[in-house]
Amino acid sequence: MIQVIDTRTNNLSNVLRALSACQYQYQVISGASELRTGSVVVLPGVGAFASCMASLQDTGLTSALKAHLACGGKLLGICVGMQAMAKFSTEFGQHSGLAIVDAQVEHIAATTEQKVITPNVNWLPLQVNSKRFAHFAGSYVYFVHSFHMCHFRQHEVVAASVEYGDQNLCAIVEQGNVIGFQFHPEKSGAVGLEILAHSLHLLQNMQTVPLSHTA
Amino acid sequence: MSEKQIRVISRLDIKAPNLIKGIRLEGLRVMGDPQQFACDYYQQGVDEILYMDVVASLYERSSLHDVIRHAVEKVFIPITVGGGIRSLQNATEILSLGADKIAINTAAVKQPQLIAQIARQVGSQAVVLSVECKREQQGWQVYTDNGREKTGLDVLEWIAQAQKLGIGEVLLTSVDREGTRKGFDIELLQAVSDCVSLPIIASGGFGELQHASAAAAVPNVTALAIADGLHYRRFTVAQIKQQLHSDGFAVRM
Repeated sequence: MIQVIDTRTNNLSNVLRALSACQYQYQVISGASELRTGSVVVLPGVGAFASCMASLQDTGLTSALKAHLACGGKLLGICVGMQAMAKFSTEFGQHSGLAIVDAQVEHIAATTEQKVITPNVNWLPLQVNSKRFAHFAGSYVYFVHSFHMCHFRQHEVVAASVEYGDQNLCAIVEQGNVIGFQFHPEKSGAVGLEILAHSLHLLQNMQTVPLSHTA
Repeated sequence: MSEKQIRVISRLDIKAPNLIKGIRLEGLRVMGDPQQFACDYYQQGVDEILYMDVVASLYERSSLHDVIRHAVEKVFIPITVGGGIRSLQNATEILSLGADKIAINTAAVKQPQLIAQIARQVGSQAVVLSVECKREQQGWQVYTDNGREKTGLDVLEWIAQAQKLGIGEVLLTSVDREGTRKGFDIELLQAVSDCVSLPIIASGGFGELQHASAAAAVPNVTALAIADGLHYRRFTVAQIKQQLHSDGFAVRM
């Protein structure tokens, strides 16, 4: 069961079309009461961190999502949907995230001394650390973001990264029953659809072991 | 330090329902069905598609919407749409159809605060400032309405102002070079690059493979918008990328 959260973000329809192109059935949900035990929840996102979190808060999903994960549910976040998993973001002030991943979200220019072009609007090749994504090493995927997930307590959760200027930006987060993409698989051509399908397959076939509280 | 990444964007000027191409944004010639061109470029490995509605009258709007609606069914890469976006509502309509970014020119010049209003709602990453530039005795002047209307604004001052209002990218079109195959206006690109931290999409003038690398070498240029060179099948996307690659730039193959 795939459930896509409608956070009133503009890439929702693109994510839905990508799921259809991958031959996945899905249900769009907008409230905590609609969450089904054990489902794979997709959290798309584009735009500002605070508005994504506000929409989760308004619908009661902030706490419900954590409960969902603790009961063996799965979560796949895209772009701001991945960033929402962090403890907090410093985009337009400091805002709390879901605190699923022990990391924070900072501006790309705030974590380097060098001059850097922002937003990062680029197709960049993945440098893969996780065996489960080894097949996608070197694949180009599409990024459009000014903030990135960083300061990880456990660096092993960074399943893939990309070089940008003198930094390595986190591209894929993988932690227990959670996967997040900083890039847009729904806009990364054929390989993007493959990564999306592969990740949903991984999550769906994962044993429903409750997530330990790491953050 | 990694090699600099360069995107190749196919620019499709639309006079709905057709793809058209002009010279210096005038003398429009009908090229065909935009959907066929978009799918072909997607298959060729283009990195992004840019639709510019050159008429953008009220009557034509729904046809442009159809163009986008069809494209997003088949084309899973970023899509930018410009031309005739006059309000926040126009912008969100285009994005809700599945476009990733909107490009705004005329309405932003008339009402700069519209940039901030749109950026706050949809995020800066979705807002591209489209700037049509013509050379003056000194510097460049901003034009609107496909290079027809003077604004009196200096290109560098205008872009600096827009950067503060929250744009995410600059689409820099040299009207003087557009459709001429004489090469990008490198001095213009360099001058803008010197005064922004934003990514720049170079547009107007591509005619030879070497032109691509000359523009790509300008620090903040991260993408090239190409129309004529692709529409007339003078070059393939792969040829352009191959040239960029052999000149030391990183491209998605």
